[in-house]
Amino acid sequence: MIKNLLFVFSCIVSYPLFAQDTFQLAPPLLQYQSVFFTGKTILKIKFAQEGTAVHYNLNGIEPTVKDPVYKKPLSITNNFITVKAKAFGNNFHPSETVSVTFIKDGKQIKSIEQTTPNVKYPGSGTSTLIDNKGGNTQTGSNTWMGYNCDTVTITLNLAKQERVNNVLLDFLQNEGGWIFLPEQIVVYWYDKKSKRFYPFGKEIIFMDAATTGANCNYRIINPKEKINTDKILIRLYPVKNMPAWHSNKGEHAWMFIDEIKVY
Amino acid sequence: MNRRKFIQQSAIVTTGLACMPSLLSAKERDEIILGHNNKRYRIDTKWGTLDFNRYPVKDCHEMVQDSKGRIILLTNEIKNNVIIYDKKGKLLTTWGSDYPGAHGLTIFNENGAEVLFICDNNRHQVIKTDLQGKVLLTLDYPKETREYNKAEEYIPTETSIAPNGDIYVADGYGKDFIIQYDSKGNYIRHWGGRGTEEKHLKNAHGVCYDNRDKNNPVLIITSREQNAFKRYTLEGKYIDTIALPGAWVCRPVIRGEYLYAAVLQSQSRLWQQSGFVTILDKDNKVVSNIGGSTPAYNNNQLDEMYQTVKAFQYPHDVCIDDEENLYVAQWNSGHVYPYKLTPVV
Repeated sequence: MIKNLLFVFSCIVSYPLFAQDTFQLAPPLLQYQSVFFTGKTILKIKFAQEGTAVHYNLNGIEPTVKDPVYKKPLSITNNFITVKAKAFGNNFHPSETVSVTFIKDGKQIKSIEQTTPNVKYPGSGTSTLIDNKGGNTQTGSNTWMGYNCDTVTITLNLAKQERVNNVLLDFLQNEGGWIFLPEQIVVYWYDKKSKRFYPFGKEIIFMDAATTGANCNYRIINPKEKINTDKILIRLYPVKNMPAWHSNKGEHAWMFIDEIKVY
Repeated sequence: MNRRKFIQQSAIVTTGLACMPSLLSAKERDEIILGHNNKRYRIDTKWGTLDFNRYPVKDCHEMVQDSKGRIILLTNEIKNNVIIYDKKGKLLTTWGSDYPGAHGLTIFNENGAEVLFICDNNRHQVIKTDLQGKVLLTLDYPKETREYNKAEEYIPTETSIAPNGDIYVADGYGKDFIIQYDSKGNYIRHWGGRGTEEKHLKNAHGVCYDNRDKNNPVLIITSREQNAFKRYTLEGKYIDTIALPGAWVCRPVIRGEYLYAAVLQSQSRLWQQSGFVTILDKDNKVVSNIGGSTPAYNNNQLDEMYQTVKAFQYPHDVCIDDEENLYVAQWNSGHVYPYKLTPVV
């Protein structure tokens, strides 16, 4: 008991001796060509701050000092590999964790048509969403198509009629910057025989709080049944009224998309 | 001290050390030093803190020091647009309620009398005042350039005054032109603007008269969204570009042989409070980043710079006093008052 008290007391006493501004480290920089790749890709982690180390892992949980220290570029070959990294340093609070998931090529998409994006964020032309480029969080880069309209329609033509297991869409999320995931993703598949589109699958997304910073966030839409097709139609519904917790509630949100994969 | 008390205190020290290994490095912890090479600093985030109810701030945009050594802060809070401190952070006086878009602040010694130039984003004007706030001259939007149809297109962010009194205005949130006037406010010329050539500017947020080379003074102008400074002759002829990859630099500030600038944010983490402060030597090479990555050149190319320590959110200006201390004013950072940084010798 006395020991415990002494400990508590000592902490209280000693703390003010060291009281000063303490700062958190900023997150390390993850550098890669694109999160979308064929074959193999390389991840570099940058953090030029003396007396610190970046620890990383591939197991999906929060990195600790027990995880390996980043020393040289990582080679990525498998689909959906997630690298998490965090900077630690003696004089500072550890950084936030940064994370990137690498996404491998899927079925060949022959052509794509989509609603024209806002003039400010046109991407890099009609093939922006199938060019294997993206996964960075910079809206100014030409990998993103940005929309602030009510509905976005995308049509994909596959190279051939084949079994489609799921559809992946990669979005940007930065509510502080008015960039929300769509509130609804609806996917249809085309039936050659009846020459009609049928529901493939959908997701409704609720946002009850802002996430931290800017992140890429991919969503996978799975069908309820086995589907064979060569054409897919996607409807995305950007958030029309930003929710009550947002400082600009009621305003129309933005939606940014940079890639679509079909597996 | 009696023996019993001595033991008690020893116990406290040992338990403190044994149970809290992170405090073992207490000495180092005491010494948080930011920056690199010969430009390293201790930081005091409480330096400028005032009673918010009496002396509120919104964005703390810019700071200068007058010849009496006072530190003058410009904020867009119309309860007190100008807040004047001594170097210890003691409030001396405040004035100003007419500058809702107060943004740029420059001091100039005009034949012995010091004057201020305030750029107001909302009023679309540049206003010259004395140190007590009396208005001496107002520059409206520059119709003479034939580049503007209405005042709203002109959103001046910064001025710089040449020794002959010529006024250079950077229209950093408007059309990115630099407009040169004589000391009376008569239009002389303009240049810059947006475009695809090197001489063009994107977010010409700051302008500065650089006389570090006494025989060859030049203007250094910020092209913030291009992460660069650009150098021009005093007549507006483009000279060259100082690339600062990754850094959204605000206005350049010259003191001695060095150029200092607040970096609003890192290109790699836009709009995520990722700012720092950068310092360039007389050859315009980065020698120190306060709260930022260790500067490194490879084949004369500067590596991308970025925030490494969250010491600042969105630093907007830096002021260097006569004792080489730094003061940092911040934009959109939770109404925070300026910080002071003291050099580590």
